[in-house]
Amino acid sequence: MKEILSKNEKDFILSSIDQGLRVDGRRLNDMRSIKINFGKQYGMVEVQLGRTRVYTTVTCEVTEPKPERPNEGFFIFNTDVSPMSSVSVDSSRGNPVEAELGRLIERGLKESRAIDTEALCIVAGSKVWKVKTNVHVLDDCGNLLDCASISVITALLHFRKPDVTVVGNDATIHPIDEREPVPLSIHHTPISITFGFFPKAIMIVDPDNKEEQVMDGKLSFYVNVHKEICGVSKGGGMSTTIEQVIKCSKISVIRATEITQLIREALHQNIQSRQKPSTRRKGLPFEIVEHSVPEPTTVAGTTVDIKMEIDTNNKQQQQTTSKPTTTTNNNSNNNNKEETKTKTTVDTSSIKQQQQQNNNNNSTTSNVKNTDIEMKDKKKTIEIDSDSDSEEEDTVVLSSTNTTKTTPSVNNPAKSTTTKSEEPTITSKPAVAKQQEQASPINLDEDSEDLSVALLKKKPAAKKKAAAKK
Amino acid sequence: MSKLSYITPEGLRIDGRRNNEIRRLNMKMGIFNRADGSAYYEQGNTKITVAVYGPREVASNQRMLHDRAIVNCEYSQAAFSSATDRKPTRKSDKQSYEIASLIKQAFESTIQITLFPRSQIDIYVQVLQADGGLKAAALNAATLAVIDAGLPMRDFICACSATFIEGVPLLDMNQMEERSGGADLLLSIQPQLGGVISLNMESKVPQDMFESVLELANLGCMKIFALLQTEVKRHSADLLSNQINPKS
Repeated sequence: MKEILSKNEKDFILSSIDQGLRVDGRRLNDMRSIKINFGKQYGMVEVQLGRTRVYTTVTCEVTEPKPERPNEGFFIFNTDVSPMSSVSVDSSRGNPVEAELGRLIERGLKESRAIDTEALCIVAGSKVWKVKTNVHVLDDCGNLLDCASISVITALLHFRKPDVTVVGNDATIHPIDEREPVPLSIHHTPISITFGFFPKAIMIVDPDNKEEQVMDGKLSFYVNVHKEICGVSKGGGMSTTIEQVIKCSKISVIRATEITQLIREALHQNIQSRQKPSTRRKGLPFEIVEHSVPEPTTVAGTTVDIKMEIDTNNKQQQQTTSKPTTTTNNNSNNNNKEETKTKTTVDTSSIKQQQQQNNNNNSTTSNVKNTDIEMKDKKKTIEIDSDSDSEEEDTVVLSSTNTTKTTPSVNNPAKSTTTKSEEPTITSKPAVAKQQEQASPINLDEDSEDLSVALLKKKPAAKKKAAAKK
Repeated sequence: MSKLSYITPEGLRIDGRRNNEIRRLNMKMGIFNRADGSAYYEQGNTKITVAVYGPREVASNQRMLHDRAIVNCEYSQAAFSSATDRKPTRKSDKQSYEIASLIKQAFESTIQITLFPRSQIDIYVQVLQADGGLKAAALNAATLAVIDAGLPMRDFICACSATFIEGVPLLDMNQMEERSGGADLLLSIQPQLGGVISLNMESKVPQDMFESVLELANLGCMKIFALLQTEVKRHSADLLSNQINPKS
């Protein structure tokens, strides 16, 4: 059964796009908002791109390697376009959309060497990990490929495989509660950006359902933050010009950078929340903070920014990258947590220097850490005791190093510098905070102001909740 | 693996070509009598034959479209086609399906299918010898066959592959160069109308290099177009002269 668009609808969409308007109010180059939700276990991610929803799960098991490749594990991708996603999906026949989606995602990751099969080896020749990625399309409202690609790479970045100790030929797999599980080795994060083409050389980013049915042709770029094009796919459809293709490649790099930042923040936030399950209390307002030292909300943001800096590997891009994040935020229905995180526009380069230089201000240590914790957690839950504070100091530091380690394969050299700079952070974090205060970032909107003010003045819960709801 | 240098310091490749030279083309149209259109196409050591049937009645009523023709493509590599790939099943595996799908999409946008409602056009591609550049060669060969079948098209479809090895963009790779692991870009264009029909690339390429590889592939496509056009004109002239002065 096919989904048929009436002629009136088609004419309406085409004529609007002719005038540069899109039916849902976006501009030609805007992507829809992205929401990333993590499941209970590692490796379960649901991504919403506008109203398109894709759910990905990653699981692993130990298996024997292929005899001709004894050092390599397996990455298996399985795509399932559910009939509930779209009227035109017929489960009795093979679905070409499904096959193509699976193929493109698999190719995009494997061929571009984003995923490392050799890192999956446990005992060469007899035991390797087989990582199985299941992509479930729940709701097809256009641009499945982009949504699925974000979902898959986020799930792979989020996933943790159990830690293994190898003694000779025996491998002991430690259960997750015994030992911290280990992330996969992901070298870079390719994201797919899809363009739709219309007559008169008009091109839109991220077509939605109706636009897909009306458009002449589709072009998808798989890019990563390092401005490398990991894959291009344009099949059939209307012909475009080479100049348009090159123009699209440039736009896709910019968009991919924004999306990668978004993914990192969401991952960071989620990993933080998992690190301290005992202190996680959802919905409690910030006022529980008893330390009234003014800590700007940008502290934890710093760590995120540092990560972003590392990720982009370009200090010059600092400001620009933080700006796109704000636009991303405008575009995406992020919750408050992500908003506050990304609003920090501090010069992280300066902060880094300060981190390294200043090792004073122990008095504000615990306070800083608290805010660190809370900002990192973004859980609005605060620790109370000074004792627990000190514990949390450690955990905070560790987790920060952990989190930087959890994104190992993205930027290895940069990461090592981060961890080094963060390891002595017990003393330097307050310095960071101080510098943050001094730097006093241009708070991009009232939310972060509210939070910092709240920390200062212990504002009532209502206001916090209001801020949170924003 | 021994360090094979794909391009010497003087700029010569394994087979002696420069980086912007395509392999030698050898084409024949109208090789099969039974099919509506057919072509034999050689690009270097890659040899392909294509047969086109159509427009004809749709095989199954379910797939019939009321306002246009369906384009159906089947791609298969002969068992003897490759010295290095020794896998037996070749007909319905994933790779064949993908290439067939690629050809189908390209021709659906180029053949004027709205002139043949409720019909089906079949393109059968058979690879006799595989030495790199299979998808591009299949597209070019199919273009010739479709022209031979007399089906109206908006323009030729010219395809060429390009890659990026050791910092140098190379045009029209043979099998060894394809296997080297560099980016493999397949570009197919409508040369006279100037549009890109399909563009596929796997593997990583920095963005600035991407443009140069794309431009090189475009150049290769135009070269191939010139040769295809010459062959079509020559074949048409041949047919005409046979009709006017039939050889016994």
